[in-house]
Amino acid sequence: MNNYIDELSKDLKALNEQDRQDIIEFYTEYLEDGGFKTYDACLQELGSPRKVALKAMADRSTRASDETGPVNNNYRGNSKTDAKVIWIVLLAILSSPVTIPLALCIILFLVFIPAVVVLSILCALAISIFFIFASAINLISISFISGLTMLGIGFVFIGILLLFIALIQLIIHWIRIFVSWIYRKSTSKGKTEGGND
Amino acid sequence: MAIKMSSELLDGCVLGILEHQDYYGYALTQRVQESADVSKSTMYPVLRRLKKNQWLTTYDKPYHGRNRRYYRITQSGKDKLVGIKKEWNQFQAGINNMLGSGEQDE
Repeated sequence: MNNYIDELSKDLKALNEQDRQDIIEFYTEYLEDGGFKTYDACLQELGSPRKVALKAMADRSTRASDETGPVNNNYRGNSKTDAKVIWIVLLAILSSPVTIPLALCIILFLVFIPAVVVLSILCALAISIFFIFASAINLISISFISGLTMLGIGFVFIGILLLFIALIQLIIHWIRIFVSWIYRKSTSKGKTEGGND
Repeated sequence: MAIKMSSELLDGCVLGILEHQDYYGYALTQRVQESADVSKSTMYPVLRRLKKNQWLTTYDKPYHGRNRRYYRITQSGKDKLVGIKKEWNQFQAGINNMLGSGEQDE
C-alpha cells in the first residue's frame, strides 16, 4: 500500500502541497479502510496510481474553469496555470488509448503549429526592435530629427510586442476552455443535455 | 452499461446518501457502488467538488489510532438536493414518456 501511495504522490507533483496532501490522505484512508495491503490489491481496487492522479487533477482543473464555479475569478493573465491545465488534460487524454488519434490532432493543431507561429512572430518583433533602436542611435548623430523618428518607431514596435503578448495570453485561455470541453466530451462524463455548458 | 451517469446526477446521489447519515470515504464509495456502476476513482473529485460548493462539510473522527474523515451534508447541500431531485423527476418523466414506463403494457 505504501508503494502505491508513494507512486501516487509522485504522479501528483504538478499540484501544490495542500492539494496533493488532500488527495494522499483520502486514498491512504480509503485503502486502509478497505484493507488493501499489497500493491496489487490496491491496483486491483483503484487502477493505476497514474490514472487515479490524472483523474483527481484533470477533474479539478476542468471544474475550476466552469462558469458556475464560485472560485474562478483569478484568470486574468494567469497563463502559467492555463498552460498547466492544458498539459494535464493532454496527459489525461493521452493515457487512454482510444483517444490517441484525437489527442494527436489536438497536439498538432493546438500546440505545435501555434507555438511555432507565435515564436516566429516574437523573434521577428524582438529582432526588429533591436535593429530599429540600433539604427536610431546611429542616425541621431547624423540627423537628430530622423533619429528621434526612428526611436518613435522603435517604441511603436514595443507596443505591438506587448499587445501581441496579451493576445497570446487570451488565446491560451480560450484554448484551455476548449481543451477542457473536449476532455469532458471525451470522457462522456459530461452532461447529457445541453445544460449550462 | 451504455447509459452514463452525469456528474450533476452523481452529485445528487452522493448528497442523497449523505442526507440519511454521515459516511467516510470508503464506506460511501461502497454505498454508491451498491446502486450504480461508478468508477472508484471518481469519488474523490465528486467529494471535493461538493465540498468546494459547500454542499457538504467534513470532520475527522479517530478510529484505531488514525483518523477517518466523515462527510456531512449542509443546509445548502440539502437545498441543492431538492433541486436535483426535481430536475431528475422531470427528466425521468420525459424519458419514460418516450420509452414507455416500467409497466408491461405491450
